[in-house]
Amino acid sequence: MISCEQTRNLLDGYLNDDLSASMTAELDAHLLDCPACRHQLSLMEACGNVVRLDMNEPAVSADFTDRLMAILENQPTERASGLQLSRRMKLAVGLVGVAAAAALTFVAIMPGSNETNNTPLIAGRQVEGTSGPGLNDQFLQEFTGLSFPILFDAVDHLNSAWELGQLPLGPALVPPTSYEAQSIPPVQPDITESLPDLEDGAELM
Amino acid sequence: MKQMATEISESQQPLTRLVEQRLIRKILKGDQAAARALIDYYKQRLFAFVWRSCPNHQDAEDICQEAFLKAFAALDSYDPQYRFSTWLFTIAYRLSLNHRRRSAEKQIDGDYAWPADDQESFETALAQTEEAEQLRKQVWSAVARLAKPQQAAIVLFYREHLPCEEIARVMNIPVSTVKSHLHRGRTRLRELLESVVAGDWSKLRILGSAAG
Repeated sequence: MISCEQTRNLLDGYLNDDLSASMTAELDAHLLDCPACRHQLSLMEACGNVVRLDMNEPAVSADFTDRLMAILENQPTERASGLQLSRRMKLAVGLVGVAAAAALTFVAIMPGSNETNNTPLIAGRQVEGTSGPGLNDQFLQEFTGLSFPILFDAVDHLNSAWELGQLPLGPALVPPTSYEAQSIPPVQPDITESLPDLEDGAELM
Repeated sequence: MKQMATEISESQQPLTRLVEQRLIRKILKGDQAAARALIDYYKQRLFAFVWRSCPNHQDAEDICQEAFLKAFAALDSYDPQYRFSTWLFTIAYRLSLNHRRRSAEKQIDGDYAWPADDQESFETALAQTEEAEQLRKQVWSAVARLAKPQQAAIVLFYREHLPCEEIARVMNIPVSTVKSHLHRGRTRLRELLESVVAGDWSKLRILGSAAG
């Protein structure tokens, strides 16, 4: 038979309903013979009963729901105006935007390295009839891993999904072609992910 | 103005997962009646949970209100594989922690004291023996003296009937830590109450049965 010390170590598992059938039988056998351990268990069960059943908290104000509904009704409904994006989608759009901005900055500040082609790029396509420094797609891909057509494809992909009201999650956000953002793991919606550590004044969304 | 939570909860039918999901789908489509129904169902349970860690009626209501607003604002990121209550309590728990942190910074958050305003409703609603009432108050006083994570784990486990895995989600801690909080909380309660009931089985029976 198990000792009193072992029994008391098992009481939590017993109360959490975590014990195996055989261990529960061992514990029950000990409790039958040991008033002291029975008393310990009874005390913990009694505390649990009070917490579970003794609802002595004051009631929430009678107009709580009305006040809350008034706030909800007066809030601008982003969803209705089609402006609300999921957190994941905001992240993806943000990443694409940052990458695009970085690439544009890179193009703007780098001197033309390809002497044979000084035709500038607009949206990744060579534009004839203009002059000035520029880089070709291959050069950009080598140094940034990105190219404008791919970035614009990704943006188009997101925009289409958004316009169709699909608000895609996870894999649907991955652009059809390879680029850096593919390293983002697919989304498994997680309530904790949607709840950042709330610091003072921090907003959930 | 105030009613006892008991009366409210007794009047409620359990909300099945199916009904809950249907309500949420309606809310996402802009159905205000569905939003009202969901608020009505959870407001008292949420308030009771928040009030335990923040025993000020107005502050607890403010936290509940903010929790509902945040939950509704992010409703389309809600994962239906979990109960809405888990999500709602998660938000409220974090808001409560933030509130406590701010209160501690302002040094206005003293030790727990039974609020005079609530004492009246407690006494009038529970027409039990005086001894049972004293014991229940001692239990709640002991619960209030637990560390906040232990208290939250105990209340979520017993009152909300959440399994350890769900409590872990609400508190954003590992399941093993939840079990540790439960263990330490129960041990502390036993230490605090052992002298009160000191081997007196009749008191324990009162404590166990009078709670209902």
